[in-house]
Amino acid sequence: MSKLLITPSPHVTKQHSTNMLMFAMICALVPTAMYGVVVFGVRALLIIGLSVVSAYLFEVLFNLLKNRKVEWIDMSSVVTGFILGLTLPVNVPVYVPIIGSFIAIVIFKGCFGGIGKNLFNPAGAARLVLGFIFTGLALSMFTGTALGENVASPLAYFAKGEFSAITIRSLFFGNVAGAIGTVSIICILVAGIVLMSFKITDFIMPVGAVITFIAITWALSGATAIVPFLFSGSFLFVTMFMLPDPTTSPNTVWGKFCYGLIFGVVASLFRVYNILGENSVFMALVFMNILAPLLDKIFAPHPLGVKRGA
Amino acid sequence: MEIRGVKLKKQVRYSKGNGFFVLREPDYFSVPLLADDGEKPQRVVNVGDMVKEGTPIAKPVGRYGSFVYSPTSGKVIGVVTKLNASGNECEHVVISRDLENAKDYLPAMAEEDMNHEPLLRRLYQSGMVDNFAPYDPAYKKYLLRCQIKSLVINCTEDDPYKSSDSALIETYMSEVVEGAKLLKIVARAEKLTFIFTSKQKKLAGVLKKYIKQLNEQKRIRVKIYPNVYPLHDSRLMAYYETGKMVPEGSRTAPTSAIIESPSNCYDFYNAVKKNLPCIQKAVTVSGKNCLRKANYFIKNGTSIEHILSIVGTKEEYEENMLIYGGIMSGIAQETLDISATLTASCILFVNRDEYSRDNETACINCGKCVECCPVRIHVKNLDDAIVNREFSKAKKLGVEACIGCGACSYICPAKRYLAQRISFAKDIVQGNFGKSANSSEFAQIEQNVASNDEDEIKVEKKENFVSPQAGAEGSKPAVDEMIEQIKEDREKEKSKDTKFKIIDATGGGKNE
Ligand code: SF4
Ligand code: SF4
Repeated sequence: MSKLLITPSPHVTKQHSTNMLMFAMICALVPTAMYGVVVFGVRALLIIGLSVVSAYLFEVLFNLLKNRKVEWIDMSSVVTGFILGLTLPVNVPVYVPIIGSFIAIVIFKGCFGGIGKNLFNPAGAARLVLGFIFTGLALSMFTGTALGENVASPLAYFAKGEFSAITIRSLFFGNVAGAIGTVSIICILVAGIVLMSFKITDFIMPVGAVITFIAITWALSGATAIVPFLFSGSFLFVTMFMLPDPTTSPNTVWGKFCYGLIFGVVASLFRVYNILGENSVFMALVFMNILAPLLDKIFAPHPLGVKRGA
Repeated sequence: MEIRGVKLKKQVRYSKGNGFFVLREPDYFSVPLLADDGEKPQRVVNVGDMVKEGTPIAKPVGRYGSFVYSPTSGKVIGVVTKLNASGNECEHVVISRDLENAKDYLPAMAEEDMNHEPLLRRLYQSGMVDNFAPYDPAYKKYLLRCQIKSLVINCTEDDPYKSSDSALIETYMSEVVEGAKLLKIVARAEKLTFIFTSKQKKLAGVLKKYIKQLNEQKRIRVKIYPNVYPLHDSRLMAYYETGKMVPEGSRTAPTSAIIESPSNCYDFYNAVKKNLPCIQKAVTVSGKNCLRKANYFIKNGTSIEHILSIVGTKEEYEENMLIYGGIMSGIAQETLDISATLTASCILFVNRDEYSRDNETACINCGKCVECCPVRIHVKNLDDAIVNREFSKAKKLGVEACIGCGACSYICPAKRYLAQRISFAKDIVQGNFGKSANSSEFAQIEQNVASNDEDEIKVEKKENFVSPQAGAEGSKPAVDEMIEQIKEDREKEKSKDTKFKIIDATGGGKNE
């Protein structure tokens, strides 16, 4: 004991880190992606791979350019790329995921100050922008399913009120047109619940979102619309994986709950009136991201033992 | 009342359930005359005086001082000024032990004296200190004239390594309960509440049974709290019990609850029934570098070096740590030349695998720190304010409410140095920067990290910063010299009188 080490307390920290949380997220997304590949073919793998690799490279390049510290093992940009890839349909041109990653990583993350400082969920915001640039993403380009035909997105039927055009069974098992990762409801649900039970993502926000989504949809379109709406249009994917993103959601428990509730309301309104097609859930997400700092302010905790207004 | 905090994994496999060991007494004690930051008592012995076990060596000054008693019988061989375990400079009385074992305890108390006034006086005389922050003399919180509903005995051991309170209750249950009842008379409280965590359910059951035997279920209650960290803070405990929070640095009496520790109950029982002044403390000695992990009764003024020589280290390499106090809120010491005092709860000899040193990464805004803060500080915003050196904003965000528990740093996935930075900012806001050990240590780290903004704080840092090393090293030769002296004296004594056998027994301490 020649030299004692001194450090300030606490001398232990929990055995988890940002990268580990992100890695767990990736693991949870893998089954969803695999299901997507099975349903849509190998091209799905190409789209996801392109968006993951380009997201990672953009992150590294941007940090080099800005003279920020480069984290070589950076799982968070991988997650962003992964999620972005999963929200794209399989038959997009190959440059779409690359442009998407650029928008997500450089514009919506890097320019806001890097990890933890972004106002919008990078993947969600990038997907929304892509949806506006390539208008086909919203509706007609969702083709090519396991059925092998050109099928329009279920949303097109639902907009006309034809809820029985697509069976709930095929919605649940992903036998519909849609984005790579968002059609397999079963994988999303399982992965989401596993993540929540290991406390990797928050459970308050998804619960709140689902509650109000069901309530508003019921009120506006009747009970028959609930399940088709819930299982289509990326709603569950966004609610499980993108809404509880730590950076862009509020910090306090009540803030989170309200965040979830309002997200459910906004998303169902957009969906019921079919304003933006497949983009509507992402629009709702971006809208909520703007509200998050406000909710943080409203639900800011008050320290105990300190006089109010002092 | 919502109890917030973090869940920690208990590390008491070895130290638990073995009762208590008595540490072999060292050849010399160096008793600090200041346990923590408090009012300095006045020394009443001089170099050369003979003292007995229990002779007062310092008396209180001012209204809130406290007595300090000699832990052994022997001769005062010196008075040195060095740092105590909390990084405060104070006088240490060095006493060399002789083999006479002469005792000089408090006067006996009569049966009819078992009411408020005489017991409060005995509490004052006993020299007990509070085991929960702030480390006042124990009697201080009983002086406030408030209606006390319940005296709360906080048996929760929230620190992962601590098991001394459980062991004390297990081994000396009747004494602890009796002492608690005596303290209840001092507090004039209506009820007595023992609080355990869900990890201690078995012990709580045994205690419940014992209380049933005494037929006092109505007046003594046993409560189980969830197993979270922190529960050790008395203000927080009073808040959980009564729903009222007192401001930082105040006593909890206005909330109608007084918080006491089981070890103080035991000490008070000894002070009243056995007339023993408070000279020892039940301490958990543990850590991977400690061979004999156990609970010990350690006398006030025993040097850590001596404890280490008995419990032994496994390995000797750099980057070991000595932590005085629990692993979550204890103070890492720079030298082994530190005395254990009555405020110790744990002494940990920690090696490289046990503590975590991670580099800070960027905050991902997850809000985990906000959720776990027991006093509901918006830790993330506060941290941002401190990083930007906005101390007035930090004050507004309640930096002074922080109890320094470290739960936020523990939980943060980005490994931010939250609690460290907050305690540093708290000291700056309250104007006592450099006085508490934790903030000084953090200042050292800050200096190494070298932030690129120059401002007045840095200047202040240089001026007020007390390096623990300077004081400790400056005083070390004095002690060393004296020890040499003692050894020489001993040798002479030995050769003079062979009737005495110096019992340098087992080295392990005996089981009680
Ligand atoms: S801010 Fe202070 S009281 Fe709150 S968790 Fe951190 S150290 Fe504990
Ligand atoms: S726990 Fe750490 S990463 Fe999460 S908000 Fe607090 S400081 Fe940021």
